[in-house]
Amino acid sequence: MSRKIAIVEDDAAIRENYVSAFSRYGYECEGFRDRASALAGFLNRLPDLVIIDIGLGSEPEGGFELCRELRGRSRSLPIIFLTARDSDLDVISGLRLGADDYLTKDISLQHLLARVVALFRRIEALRSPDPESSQVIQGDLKLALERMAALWKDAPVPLTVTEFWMVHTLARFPGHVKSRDQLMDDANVVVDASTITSHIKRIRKKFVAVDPSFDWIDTVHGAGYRWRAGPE
Amino acid sequence: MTLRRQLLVFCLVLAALPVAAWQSARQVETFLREARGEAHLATARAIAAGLDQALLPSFSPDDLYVNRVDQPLQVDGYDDEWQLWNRDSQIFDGRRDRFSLSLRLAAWRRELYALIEVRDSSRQRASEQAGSYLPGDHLQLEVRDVRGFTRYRLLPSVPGSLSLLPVGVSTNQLPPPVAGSWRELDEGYRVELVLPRALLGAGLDLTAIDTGEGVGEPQLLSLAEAGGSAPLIDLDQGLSDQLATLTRSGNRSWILHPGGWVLASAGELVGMAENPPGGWQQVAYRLLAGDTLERTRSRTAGVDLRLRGAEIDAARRGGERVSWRRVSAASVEAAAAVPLGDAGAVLLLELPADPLLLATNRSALRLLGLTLLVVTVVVLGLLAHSTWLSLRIRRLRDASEQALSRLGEGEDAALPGSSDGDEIGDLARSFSGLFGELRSYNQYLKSLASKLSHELNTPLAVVRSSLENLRHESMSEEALAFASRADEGASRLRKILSAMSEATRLEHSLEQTEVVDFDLCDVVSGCVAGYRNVYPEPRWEVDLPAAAPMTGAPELLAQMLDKLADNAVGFCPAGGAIKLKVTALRRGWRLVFGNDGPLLPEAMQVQIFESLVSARSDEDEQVHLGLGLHIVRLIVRAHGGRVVARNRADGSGVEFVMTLASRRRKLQP
Repeated sequence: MSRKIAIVEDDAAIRENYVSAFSRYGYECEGFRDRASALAGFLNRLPDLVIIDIGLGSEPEGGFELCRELRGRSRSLPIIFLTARDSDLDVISGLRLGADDYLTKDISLQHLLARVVALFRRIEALRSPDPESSQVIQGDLKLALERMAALWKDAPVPLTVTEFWMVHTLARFPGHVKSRDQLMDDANVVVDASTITSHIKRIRKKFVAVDPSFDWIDTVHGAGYRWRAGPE
Repeated sequence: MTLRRQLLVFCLVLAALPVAAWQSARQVETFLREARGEAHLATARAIAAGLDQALLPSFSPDDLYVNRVDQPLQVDGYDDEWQLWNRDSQIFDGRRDRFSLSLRLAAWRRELYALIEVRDSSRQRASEQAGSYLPGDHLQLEVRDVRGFTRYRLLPSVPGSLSLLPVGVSTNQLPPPVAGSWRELDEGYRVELVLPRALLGAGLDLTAIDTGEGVGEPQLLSLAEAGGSAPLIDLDQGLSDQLATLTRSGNRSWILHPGGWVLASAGELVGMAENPPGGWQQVAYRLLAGDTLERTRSRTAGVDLRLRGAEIDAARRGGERVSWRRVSAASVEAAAAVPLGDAGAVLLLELPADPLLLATNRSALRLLGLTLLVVTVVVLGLLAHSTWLSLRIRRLRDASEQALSRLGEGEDAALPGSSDGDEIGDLARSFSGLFGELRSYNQYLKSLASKLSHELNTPLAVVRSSLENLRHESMSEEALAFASRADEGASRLRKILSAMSEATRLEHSLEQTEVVDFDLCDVVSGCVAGYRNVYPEPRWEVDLPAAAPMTGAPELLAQMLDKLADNAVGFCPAGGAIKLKVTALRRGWRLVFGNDGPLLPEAMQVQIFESLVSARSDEDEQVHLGLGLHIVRLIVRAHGGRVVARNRADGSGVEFVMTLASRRRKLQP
């Protein structure tokens, strides 16, 4: 069955381009130009994934509004923010509203598709819990790749896709310093170094929320980050 | 020249005020004194007119003055009794080239005393040589009365005594009895004589003979060169009595012989005994009238036998004159002289001038004090005002400089003095307006980059997604080439936009950044290790202390170092070095990041940190918007420090000097 993707974007050219790109990859894709028409379109049935621009026509924060409304209707609906705005504040508010990922518009279609695929895979994995799913185990950390779920001391850590891949990159080779560029490549993020920094901060916070004594991610100034090598 | 100094110079003009006051006080004093002087002269003229002219003797310039004494003198050849009155009372003082003769006369009742001193460096005693008698140095005295004259030769005999040899007598009377005493002095001799007073009316003549070395003609020195004899004059009691009736108490008047001898005197000068002026008043008065006062001692009746002075000289020539004399620290005397008769006699009236002194003193000092007070108050007031003005201007200047340096931070502090109603307030208000304009313009400029990048992102996304879609269409080789070129251009554009929004994003995120304790050395050495891998070409030289603990955002500092490294590598020539050095400051650290290479133009040293300013040449292949150093400045400021770019002193390259506060509770843009 083909998945249904909704794109809410006020710029017609981008909307059309994305729609045609997703269609080419075999997704069923529909574009909406503002909040009202999107809500009207979702009345009967929610799509499998919604990609929302934050600024919608006359509403500069319309995307956030829409995200809140959709979350109200479904807790599991995957939502990706795709926006020209890239301030950390926006990223934080977007993710706090329960978006699954936050991408800036300068991401290439290739990357965007990769992220969408990853999200769907994660949703699949969550729906059919598969103990055989490949795992990375590093000390107290368990990463279920199929489901993109992270466990710390068997407690789930709610990571976004981007964060999950970063943790994955770091934890696979503990003690190895990963530069920002490597992290960006692995997480399919096309942003600059300072965004990586704020991602790492958020990852730390999420782990600390689960385990206050968590300090396994080291900053190596000028080089990057590493997962501390535990006592062998 | 500062405002205060200008006003100080201006205040010097005010110093003319006390000078003017001084001058006017002097004028007042002079005027008062002249008026008093006129009054004195009138009084003197009245006395002169009231005198019985018939009492005045006739005068001749040859008159010999006899001093009246009130007790007999010892005729012993010593002059101590004669020392009591002034040397000026020598009535005759003649000189030759080898010797001099002086004569003084005194009278007591019927006696007439004479003191004769001869100064002679070549004394010759009387001697007998070759059978002839030579008298040596001696005196010849000729006394006259109405009946004739008697001439004596006075010779030393045994020391102390005198031999009198009558050498010519014009009458057949016995020569009048003359006794005397002869004293040899170191140079010359002194003779003291006593004669009958009866000789007074006619006169006497005295000749000193100096035989010199005994060769050639002896030298003579006579009182009356013409060979006559000089009449004697003395203090006239009758005249004095009459003068006393005309003289007011407290004043003193004199009648003077044309030669200045005192013929009569009356009255006592009484100064201001009570309430004498204080020391500073005297000083003030001396300053006030100093150059018009003669400084002399007071005259004393009976001691001063002969008076001198400008006013006496003037009266002797027929004029009138008042002179003012300071006779002691506290008292001033006025002396008014008018002529008496036609022969050159003088009436001199002396009055104390103390009340005048006091009056002028008080008025002058009051005036002076008042003007000084006024000047001082005015000068101090002006100075205070100017100080206040310059303080306000300086405050305004400092505040505007601060505002100017904080333009970038968008704080809107009111300038001091904006509420004042004067020109400075006006200036402050217009400055405030100006800064407001500047600030909003600055804000606009700053937000321009992020707005622009934000606005451009959407069309760029359109371009890129369209190009990517295009790849999936069947295209000719050429079309593919075009598409890939468009793709390249789009990705370059994307880099530019992300660089443009980086600074703005950083500014927004600074406040949320949490500070941690870390070691600056670790950050620097870690970063440099990374750079060595990425840029092996320039030499990286690091000079770090053992530890540099500080509180802040290490990842931001690493980002800052990245920008600086990127910048330095871009400018460093092949074989050059990049040097990092951390040194301790009092409350923080200094980080110097320098590289060999071309120097900065002077004008760029300040601007270089502004966004969209780049000192690089246009040949640079890389996208370079000059945003890197702007970010460096943001990060340094967030750490409570400052950054300057400067050329090294030796001209080998450029260095960035950053100060970082070691304790920072919170990052503030």
